[in-house]
Amino acid sequence: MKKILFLIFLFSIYCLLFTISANAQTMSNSSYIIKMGNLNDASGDVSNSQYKLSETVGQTSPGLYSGTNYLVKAGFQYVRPTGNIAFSFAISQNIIDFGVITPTNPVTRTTNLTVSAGSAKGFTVVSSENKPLTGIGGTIPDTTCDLGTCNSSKASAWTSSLAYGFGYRCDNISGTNCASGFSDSFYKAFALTPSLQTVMTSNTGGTSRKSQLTYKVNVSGTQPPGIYTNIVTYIASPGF
Amino acid sequence: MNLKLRIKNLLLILFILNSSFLIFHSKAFAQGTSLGVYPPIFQIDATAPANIQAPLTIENQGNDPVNLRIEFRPFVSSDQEDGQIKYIRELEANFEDPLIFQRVKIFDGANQITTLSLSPQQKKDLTLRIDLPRDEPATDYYFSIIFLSGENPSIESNSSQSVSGIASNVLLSIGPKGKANGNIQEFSSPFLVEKGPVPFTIRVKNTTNHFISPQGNILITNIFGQTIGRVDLAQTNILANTVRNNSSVWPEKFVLGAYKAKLTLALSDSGPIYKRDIIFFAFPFKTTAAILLGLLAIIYFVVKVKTKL
Repeated sequence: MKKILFLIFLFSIYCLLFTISANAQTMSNSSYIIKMGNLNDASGDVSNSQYKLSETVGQTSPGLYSGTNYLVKAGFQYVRPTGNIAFSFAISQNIIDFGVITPTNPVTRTTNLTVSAGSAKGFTVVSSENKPLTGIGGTIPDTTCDLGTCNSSKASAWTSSLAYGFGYRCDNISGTNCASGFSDSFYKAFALTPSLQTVMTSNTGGTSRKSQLTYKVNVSGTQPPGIYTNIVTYIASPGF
Repeated sequence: MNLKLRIKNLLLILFILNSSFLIFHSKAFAQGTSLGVYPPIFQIDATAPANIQAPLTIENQGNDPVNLRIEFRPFVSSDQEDGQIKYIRELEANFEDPLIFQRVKIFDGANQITTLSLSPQQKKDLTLRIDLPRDEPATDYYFSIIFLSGENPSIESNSSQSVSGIASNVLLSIGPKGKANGNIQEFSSPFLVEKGPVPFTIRVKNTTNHFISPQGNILITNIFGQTIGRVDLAQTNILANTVRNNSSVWPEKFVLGAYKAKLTLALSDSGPIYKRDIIFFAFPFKTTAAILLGLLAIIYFVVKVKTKL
């Protein structure tokens, strides 16, 4: 019985000493707020010798700021009566893990891009990769699809397991905001930095416009083994 | 004795199991990133010298902490003339003041920042500051303030990392500005429409070196000269020396006859004002054809029946 107690004691000490810290998923104190539909807060008139802030209650960055030799109109309330709603962008996966890639067996993975244009009339999401998928053994080139006709600006059919490379396609989930050209089984290559390629676009705006990106990788039997990685950057910009 | 042994074995198994979880745990990665920014646009009219200040808010709407770096990137109007942007390189922008981005700063309180960290659901109020010296040339600058998430720790697997960025656009116009100038490149609608709503295409060109924000409306009158419809145009920004398509729709569903649409457009609060008229016709051809065919069928049927009688 003493041994049991001793074991429990040891175990407790062990757990206390070697625990892994965990971050709270949602925090709230004076600095943080519960997620809201927009970034609006109550605010009042603020001014000093340099500038004057004057707007209605319910806006964090409310419209008109003036000072010596300048006037700032912030937001779209002066050009559109749609209110002052934040522009937001979300990506569902920060890492697309392809796992083990075997020759002539294409691997596909998906991620979702969601844009809420808020008061902005339209938006654009552009993307670029820092390099093709690269490992110690070399690179997996960007796809040129079945007939060698696709690139970062043109989509083409990619169904053959003998067509190798890395590419993506876009499918509309909510709204029709994918860049044009993605017919069934059509893929594109990512633009290489510093070039950028439009992935999603809208000239009307909207809320929770969601598109699904499907990444695809296929390698030949001569592809050197190794771990291949790259970084794809997405930038969401409101219209003007 | 057996019971004690069993308990001992059970505890030992639990101990090993817990230890294995602690030792052989795998790294956990943020699922995704969600960011919000306000305002989406700054329209700034300034005359040098000026010390411009305006608030800017960035929010981490996700459930994981995020590290952000701040970049400025110039843009031009997209080729579609639809008010969307196309990023260009700084060299391509060929700014009159090549040091303009050194004059643009983001402050967190009293501290200038180029990076920041946000906790889950945290919102941060920042300040955009632009210091224009006395000799700053009169011109426009269009650029985005971009908040880019940091890279994630790499994993020992074939993978592609995603970096998210969100932008707020700045239209900085440094004067003195002359009179707004431009022209209506196109004002049109289908000449013949079956039914409403009626679409109008309006393309306006800004021929000045500064952005303008025109406003206007379309008045629709019927064949008797009565005004029966009004469409207020969404006020838009037109960048310097570019064309913008500001298409609108007259939502009326039932339309019949000849109509005149009169566009009145003010390029700025102080003018100039341009006017343009077009005429279009509305007639429900399909409905009429269906009715006529129906009538013909009835007549044919009646004649047939009478002939038989």
